[in-house]
Amino acid sequence: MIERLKIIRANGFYPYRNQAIERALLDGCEKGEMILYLWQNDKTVFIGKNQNAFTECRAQALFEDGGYVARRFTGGGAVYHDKGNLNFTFIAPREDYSLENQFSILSDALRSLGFEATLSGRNDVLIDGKKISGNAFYQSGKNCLHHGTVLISSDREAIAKYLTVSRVKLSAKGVKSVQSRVANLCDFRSGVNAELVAAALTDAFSARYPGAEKIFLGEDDLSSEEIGRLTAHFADRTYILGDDVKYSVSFERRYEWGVADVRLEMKGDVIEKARIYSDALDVDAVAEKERLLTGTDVKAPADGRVKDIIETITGEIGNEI
Amino acid sequence: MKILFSKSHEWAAIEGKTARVGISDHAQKELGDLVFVNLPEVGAEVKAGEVLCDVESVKAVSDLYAPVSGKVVAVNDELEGAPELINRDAMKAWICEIEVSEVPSDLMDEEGYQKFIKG
Repeated sequence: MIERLKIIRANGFYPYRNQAIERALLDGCEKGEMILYLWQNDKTVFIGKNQNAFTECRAQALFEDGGYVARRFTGGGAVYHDKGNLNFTFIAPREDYSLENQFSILSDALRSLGFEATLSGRNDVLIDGKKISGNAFYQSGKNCLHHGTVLISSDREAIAKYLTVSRVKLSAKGVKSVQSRVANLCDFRSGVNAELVAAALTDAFSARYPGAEKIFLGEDDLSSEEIGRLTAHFADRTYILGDDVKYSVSFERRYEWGVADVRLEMKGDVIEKARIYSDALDVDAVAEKERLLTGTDVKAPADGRVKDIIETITGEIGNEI
Repeated sequence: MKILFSKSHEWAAIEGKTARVGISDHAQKELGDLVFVNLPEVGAEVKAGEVLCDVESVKAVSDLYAPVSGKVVAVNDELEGAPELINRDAMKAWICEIEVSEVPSDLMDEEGYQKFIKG
């Protein structure tokens, strides 16, 4: 029995903190409670729990544009978030969790704004055959979670730019491109924004459980220590990219010994291959730096002679992306 | 060898000091087609009733719980490339092997478990 509804809206747009809040709400959800969490991320490719960041998105291009890659703890495929997208999360103890109810809340909310939406398969919500919401799910023995996107005025060019969609998967379904099968609410009716959708979802949520007490929470009601710890977890590079994923790092820096154009092939934290192009006169010394870098774990470098380069690498890729 | 089931739908086939662990056919059906199995780490100490690992199906990511306490001594790597083996034969597709330190008293035998799921 749902006795209490908790509604919370995230203040910021930093994806890892928003994920941390979601996780804390999931872990803290008590018997008799149902939570609706509304949140928005700035420029983020949000990959599924078991996806490879580098095959799903153009991570480098995204980083260069100041975006983020984040990993969900729910399954499914990669989606793109920006401020033109609103995320909703339903959290409930296993016995009160009902996908049917939750999808009804979404369609009720959209209907109140003048949109007729239909559920397609398990994950997608469509308007006129185009996807405006993608959904994903998590269940533990105690609590379950259902979250999804609502595309309102998201940058569709960015979706095409950052998400790499396997050609095989699309052609197998007979669909041309991601861009042509997703739509924004604003494509159907102008004047819709995240505030309106958030309010409509909140109203539909309380209308669905009329007898329940309604409690509005703020971020301050959550443990800042827990949110801090979880934010670091979701922002951790190894968590997002995997510990054996290969990627490349390149940068140009002026060091005491010369200007260096450094290109590295990384596998997790380990430099697999290093190439340095430099104007330094001591060619052998540069070659030695390449040799010293190769095989080095940037989190635990053994040799102090390439300390300056390692510092740039950890600064470049850091713990946070 | 005896096969026992947990209320969270895992099985443990216990032989001497080790138990092979998997999920029940009922759990497999509830989850739907599996697309990914995150195996536990060999060497990990696990406690009965606590999260052992997780699986992703077409429906959701779901946590699996350790039916017995002990240390993970082996994992079934085959599942990494072929999670569908669990759908095909859940009682055969073991996930890991645990060196058992404790078997909880609330585990059920096959008959008890069948009653429990019909509940």
